[in-house]
Amino acid sequence: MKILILLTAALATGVSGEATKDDTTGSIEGRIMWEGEKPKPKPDIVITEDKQAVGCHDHGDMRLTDNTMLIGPKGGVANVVLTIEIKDVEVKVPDDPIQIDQKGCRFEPHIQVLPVGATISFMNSDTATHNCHTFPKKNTPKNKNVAGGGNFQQVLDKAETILVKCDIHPWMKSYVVVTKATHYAVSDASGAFSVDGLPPGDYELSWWHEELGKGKTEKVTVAAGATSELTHKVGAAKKKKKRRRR
Amino acid sequence: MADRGDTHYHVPHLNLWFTVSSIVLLITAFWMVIDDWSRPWKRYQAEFRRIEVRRAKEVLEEEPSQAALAEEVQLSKTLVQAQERLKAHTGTIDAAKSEQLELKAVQFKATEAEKKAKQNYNWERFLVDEFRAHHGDDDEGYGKKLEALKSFEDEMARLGNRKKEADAAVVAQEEKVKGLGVEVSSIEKSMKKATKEIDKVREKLAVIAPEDRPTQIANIIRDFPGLDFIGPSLKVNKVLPPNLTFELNFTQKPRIDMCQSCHLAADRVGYGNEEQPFTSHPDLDLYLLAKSPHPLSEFGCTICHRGAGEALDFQRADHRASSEEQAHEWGEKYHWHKQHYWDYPMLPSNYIEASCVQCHKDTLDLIEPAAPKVVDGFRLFERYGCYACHKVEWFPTKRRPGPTLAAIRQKTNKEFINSWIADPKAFRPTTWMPQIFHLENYGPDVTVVHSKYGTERAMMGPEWSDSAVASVASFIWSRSTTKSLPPMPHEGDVERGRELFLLSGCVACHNTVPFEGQTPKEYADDEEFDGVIEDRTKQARGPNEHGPNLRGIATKVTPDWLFQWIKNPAVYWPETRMPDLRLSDRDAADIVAYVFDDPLFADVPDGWAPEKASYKRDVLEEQARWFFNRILPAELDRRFKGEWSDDRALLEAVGEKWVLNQGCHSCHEISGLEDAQPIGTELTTWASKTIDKLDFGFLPEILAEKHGWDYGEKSEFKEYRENFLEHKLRTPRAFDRRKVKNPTERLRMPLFEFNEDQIESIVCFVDGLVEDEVQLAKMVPTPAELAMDIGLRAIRQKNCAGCHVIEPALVEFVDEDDVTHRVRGSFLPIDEEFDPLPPPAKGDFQQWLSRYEEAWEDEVPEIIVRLEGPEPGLGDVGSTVIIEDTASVRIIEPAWGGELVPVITDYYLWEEEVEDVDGVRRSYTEEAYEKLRWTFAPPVLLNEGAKLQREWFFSFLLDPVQIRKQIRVKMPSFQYGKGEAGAIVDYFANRANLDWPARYAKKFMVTHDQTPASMAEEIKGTGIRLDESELGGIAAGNEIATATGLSKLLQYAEEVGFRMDARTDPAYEVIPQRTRGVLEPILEADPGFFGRVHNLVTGEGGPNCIQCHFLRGTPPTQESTPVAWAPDLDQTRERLRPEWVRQWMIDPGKVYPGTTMPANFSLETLQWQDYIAAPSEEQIEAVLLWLYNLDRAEPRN
Repeated sequence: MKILILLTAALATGVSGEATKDDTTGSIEGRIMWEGEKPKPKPDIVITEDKQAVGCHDHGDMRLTDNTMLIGPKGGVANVVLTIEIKDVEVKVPDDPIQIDQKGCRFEPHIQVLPVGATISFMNSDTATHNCHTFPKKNTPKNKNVAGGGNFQQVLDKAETILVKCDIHPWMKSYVVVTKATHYAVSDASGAFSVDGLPPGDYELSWWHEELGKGKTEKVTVAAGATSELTHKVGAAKKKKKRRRR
Repeated sequence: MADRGDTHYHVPHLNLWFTVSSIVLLITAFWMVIDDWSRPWKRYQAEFRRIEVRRAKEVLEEEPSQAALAEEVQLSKTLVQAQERLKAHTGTIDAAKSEQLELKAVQFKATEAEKKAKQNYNWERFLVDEFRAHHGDDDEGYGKKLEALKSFEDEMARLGNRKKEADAAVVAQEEKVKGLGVEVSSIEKSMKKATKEIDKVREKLAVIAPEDRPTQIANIIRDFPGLDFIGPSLKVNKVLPPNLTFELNFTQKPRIDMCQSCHLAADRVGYGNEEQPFTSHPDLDLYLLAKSPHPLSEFGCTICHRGAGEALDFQRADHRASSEEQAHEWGEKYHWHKQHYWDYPMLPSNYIEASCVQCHKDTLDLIEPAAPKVVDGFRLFERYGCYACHKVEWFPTKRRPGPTLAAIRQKTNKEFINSWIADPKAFRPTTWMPQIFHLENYGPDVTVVHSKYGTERAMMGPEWSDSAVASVASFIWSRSTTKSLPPMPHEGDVERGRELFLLSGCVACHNTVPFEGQTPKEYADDEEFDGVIEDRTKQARGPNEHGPNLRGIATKVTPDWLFQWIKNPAVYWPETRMPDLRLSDRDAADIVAYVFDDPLFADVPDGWAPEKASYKRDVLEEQARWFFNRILPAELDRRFKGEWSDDRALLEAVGEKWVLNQGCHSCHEISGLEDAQPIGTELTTWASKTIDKLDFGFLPEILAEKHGWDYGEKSEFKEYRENFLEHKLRTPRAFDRRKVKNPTERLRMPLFEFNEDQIESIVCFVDGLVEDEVQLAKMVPTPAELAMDIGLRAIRQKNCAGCHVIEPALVEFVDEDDVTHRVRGSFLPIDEEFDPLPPPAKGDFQQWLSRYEEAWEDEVPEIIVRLEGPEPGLGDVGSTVIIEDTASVRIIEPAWGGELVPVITDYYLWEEEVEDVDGVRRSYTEEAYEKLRWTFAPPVLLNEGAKLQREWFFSFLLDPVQIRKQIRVKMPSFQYGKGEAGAIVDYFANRANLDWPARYAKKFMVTHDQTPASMAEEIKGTGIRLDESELGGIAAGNEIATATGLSKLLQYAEEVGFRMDARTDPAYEVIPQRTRGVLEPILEADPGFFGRVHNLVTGEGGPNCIQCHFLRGTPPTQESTPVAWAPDLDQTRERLRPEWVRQWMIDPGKVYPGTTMPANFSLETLQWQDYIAAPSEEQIEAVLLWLYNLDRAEPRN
């Protein structure tokens, strides 16, 4: 396998669009922290030993952490996508497909960010069949059954956040963030992220989280050859506005 | 001559007078001829000729013509040069030609010589042969003779060669001569080619505008007064449509339409921009052209337009102005006014569609695209129940439009009935029930009742109507059954009922739109109420206006009645359109509990308060005197004191009279009055009535006073039947104004409060109800068309579109490259930041967009459309189209149906928890909109005819079974009229372009257990000529056989009483997968075939179909997750058509864009080889075989 498959989303470290470091650019090392009282962690997803998990899990009940809202012991919030869009900077679209694996009846990683025009490859490392059902609005929706060991690829050329599900294993859920941003990162289990290769200047990072919504961080100044620090606090999302229809 | 003096007259004087009068007579004679000659149509024709010349010259000036002309000039130059060159070589050519002649002479001689030599040889040869026959081969002489023959042979050969040489020389010389002229002829040829188009124009010009003087003069003489009977160039153009007649003084007279004497370009393409009368017909694709469905030669003009077809001037043709301005303009220009002595004036342009009715009455629903207004009128006529009072013989609907009153006591209370009759719109502003009492002809301006008894009393004001209302209410109440309903078996759960109200599909037909200008009661204490909701609910939507608005319903009906009604509406009202939703007792009780809990159902318009009847005894008695005027006054007085002394008895007696008088029984079933005659005028041939039979009353005078009309305008008003209709619909009783009439004989048409558009539509329809002139009917609908029409009407009446999308919207937009696209597709929810409300089903999209943006205080960045038909350059079915320029989006045709889909989907998406069919409450807020839409909302019906097997579809309509077990809204059980269910099925089959006649023929044979041969044998005895090959041809879908034989087959079918909608053998539709020929070889070669497919379908490492699909009743492995459920695979065999299933398995997203069914078989890569080692196409075929033989492959235990 060409790219190391990250074992859990919690371990996902920030990846950056422009990873080269030199003296003309600076970087940001930041942390997304929970503000206020921590919500109760969501209960684990338990899949009892029946047919549903055959091919993902050998024997016994399968217990999976619900990774839609992960807050570390010190308050770091995982799986927050941070993006910076700098005008007139060209984003290099990777030649190789960026992968999301289905392994142990989970999507790995839970959040995958890729630039507009990149190719996503949905793999299946399980022996069970998974179906990859994507729910984009702008890109072409796909819904394919992928046999164990198989994969399918799609070029995503419209920026949007795409929900990916496996209907066969309904708890399987992931997001593909297709972004126009020039620099991006995903926070790890401790809420930490880093963005490199930034030209000196002031930046406000945009953030997005599947449950918390989206927003902007505080302004941070980046100097050439230096690393700036940033801590941004997030709290419980506002409730969805409820609609009435008769 | 001198005057002799012996006569009384003076001869010279006489001569003088004679001369003078002769001259005057001569002048008069000439004047007569000229006056007779001078006709407006001739001036139009002359004018048109000028237009033609102008247009021809314009064509010649256009670029292509100019280019051709330039080329012609260029070519003619080279032609001249070539001709000169040719001339220079005249000597050579002449020499060559004379040489050619000489050579030909030589050739002739050589040919003759050769012929001679051949004859000589043949003679000699004969002699030699004869000699040999007599003397034998060995004779010496024979050898010698052979020798001699040889010399003849040589001679012949020599001459033969010479001839060949001569031939060749001649050919060579011919070529040479031709070559000299070839240049010239090729230039001439290319000139002809280049000027082909303009030559036509020039030829035309030569005819209409000849340039040479003699032809010009000849043309003038041809059209000269007095000479134009010989061969004029200006002619009356007549059309004599065969078999079309009109009634003239009790005789049928053939129609002769001379309209084209002036409307010269009516049937010509490209004259749209010319002024009248020289313009083209606005819709030549549909009318006049020979290839159109209404060719000029067969229909003429007046059968549709009316007016006097034989008239040759503007006034006499009875033209009709479309507006007052036009009338005024015509008056100035042509001294136009109504042609008083013609009964059938032209139809004004807004009512022209009225003419469609006379031929298309059997398929009115089908002609909607071409004639929307008259079809709208037809539907309004049906919806408002006009047909119940006004008989229209052929009208397809016969049921009483209003609900039954036979058990009204169970439904509501007496106060409600009383106030409702007095003013139905006071309770429900959108009701179809008209206002009957308190109308103008019983109002204050018709005050005086000239009583028979010498009293003159002001009794026609409100108290007259109040008493009448009270009497009707009493009567209706008295005729209702007194049997009370069983009480509800359950206490209902309000919360559950609220959910059921939305998820059971009530809102597909009913709305709860708030009353105008009033705060909805349910939001009275709601701080969040910000106007957005009000704005949205105000949107008029189509299908959910099918049933009445339910606002305030809890103040009207009793809970027990409502429970019974939603459980099974037909129990209360057998003819109702409300279907049986097959609700359980618990569900029904919950809905009832909710309805009696939510304040919106208790919300009534301001001012509505059901009151006890108020009446006056003396008014009632007066009314009784009028109604019972055949009873002696003394007897009546006795009754007033006797049996009618009780007010109730008097109310009921008068009430019955009022009911019969005002026609309540025409629309409502009332016990005892089932067979009473409806009260309205029959309208079957209303529009053929002459205008003098319509009683305009004093309305023209009243209007003339009001608008200051002069005498002409006033009398003109009375000349048009449409004026009568318009006023009848607007103010139905206005024709009674100023009349002195008995109270029981006044006009009775109630007030419907139609808006002006509705009035126009209804007038258009009624104006088309003419006596059938088209006796040799032009329009005989094909069986398919008839089925489509009945099907379409049934779909409309059952409101299928309330739940199902039948046709996605047709959207037009301009892309970045300025290319305009028209695509079929559905709008996706705009953005997660916006409320996911799909665009409106009807109305202006841009208006909707700006309202939407205003409400959300944000700009919609783009519109996203999912294609539901392929569009070149944009993508295939299922592709997403992003339209960034939102201003360029237009809805050409709104989506048809599916109102309930967003209601249900939104509910699942936004509600914290929703109860599933297994009774468990689950949360779906995190699911994707699309997934919920395809899982829990009613299915779309795109291409349904191609998807479903006809028999299954038919029996499903009659007796629905649940396909998608997770959906909470059930397909209701409708009551179908005769042939309706079959017609719905056929409607979809025809939409999918399936061959209906072929199916008909096949089914006919299958149900009668016959082959084409045996069938033909049987038909033989009946006198219908239909042979085996024709029958076989129809069944095979052969077009020619169908065209010639279908009507005969239908005739025979009718004779033996065969109907397409009978329930019959489901196997008539042949499924190839189930036939022996296909199945046996496979099973012989591989007995374990089904087992291997079974493993593929059910194995965890395979496509794992049973994860979601039920299999022969066994729940899917994801039994606990209803969002993933899919139909039982066992239903495939009888339900789906194999070709559809094949496409479905290959790529479900192209069949239903957005569906939850994944693409299981990748045509690019090999998959599931452990189960069946074969390419995907073969795997699909294997699964198909298994699916269609599930009963054999997977026997039930």
